[in-house]
Amino acid sequence: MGTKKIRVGIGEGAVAKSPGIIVAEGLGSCISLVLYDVSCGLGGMAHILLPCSSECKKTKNGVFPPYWYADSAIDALLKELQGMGALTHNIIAKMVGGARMFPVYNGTGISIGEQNVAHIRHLLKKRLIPLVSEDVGGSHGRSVEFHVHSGKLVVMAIGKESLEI
Amino acid sequence: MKDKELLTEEQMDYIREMINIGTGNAAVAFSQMLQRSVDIKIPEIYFFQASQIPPFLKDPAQPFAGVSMQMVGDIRGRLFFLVPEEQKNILTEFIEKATPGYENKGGVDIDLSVLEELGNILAGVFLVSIHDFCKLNIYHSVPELRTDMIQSLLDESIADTADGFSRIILIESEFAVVRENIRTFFLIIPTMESAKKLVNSINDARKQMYGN
Repeated sequence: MGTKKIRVGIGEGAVAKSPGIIVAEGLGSCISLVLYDVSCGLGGMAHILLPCSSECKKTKNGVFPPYWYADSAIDALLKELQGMGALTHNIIAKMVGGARMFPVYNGTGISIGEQNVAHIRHLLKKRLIPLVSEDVGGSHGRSVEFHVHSGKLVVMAIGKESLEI
Repeated sequence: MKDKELLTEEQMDYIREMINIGTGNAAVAFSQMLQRSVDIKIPEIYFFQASQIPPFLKDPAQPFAGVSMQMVGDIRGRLFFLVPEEQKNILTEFIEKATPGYENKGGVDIDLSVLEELGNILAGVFLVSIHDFCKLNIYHSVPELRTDMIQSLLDESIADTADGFSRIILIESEFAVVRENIRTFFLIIPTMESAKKLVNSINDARKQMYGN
């Protein structure tokens, strides 16, 4: 294992050059969103907690970590990748997570995981980034490992065989 | 730790006192359930921002049995009772020995329901303790059990606090049954509003008790 793995904690993001590996562990309702450009060998991952930052921006006086929220995370990740030389029209996306770990009590019947998934799909569509594959929903936790050189995303869960998407 | 904004040293001591009394009551309940003597250590109690919890638990992918309960009433939020995967069998074996005719099937639902019951007991004693000190009526929902990676169990609740800046109370308890030590974690995750309400009630209760 020559390649050092970059760990992305909850509400964090990271970018790497090929042959980097980016890892996120213990995703429940959180989403691991991967954006990458294979031709340039550049990729990044965001470990997103919530769909939207607009409400929190008001309450927290604009001080908030960008990778917590889907909208600001996508923008931050895109900016980082473009800064490193990725070509916008080459960038594609994959997403994993968004599970419903426990019954929903919030009265709407929609879990945070489902909200995350729906909102990220919407945001990617709006920015014309193709979502090439995903492994979302269900009621189990996931860990993911992203290989920048191939764009391969390996999804691991307890008691299940690992999955490549 | 940046806890100064919300909790003073005196307030944290007050919460520790409530939890200690609760833990004592929990040990009595455990002891009755397992039909053997149960020793407890004074629990370690930590106060965290929601976003700091996963690093504290070190390995976010470590398997845990987690019992989740919803808090309703004067204080709203989530409660969690967490036992590392490898320790849950110790607990179910004790129950097997204490219950004639009960057969341990090695991790199937009936064994795991023991954990739900323990979570129920702990939630009950802690909430009663808070009620007795702070005059707050708090109820909890039926416990739900999942076994999965620790962070995946918690991230929904962290998201529920809406901003991750809400305070979480983490109670690390050690129960000694015969020669086995069972380490458990209990999390009280109030919503931001409820956390303020709890602090106000603590201040009122302290004033009544100490007159300052």
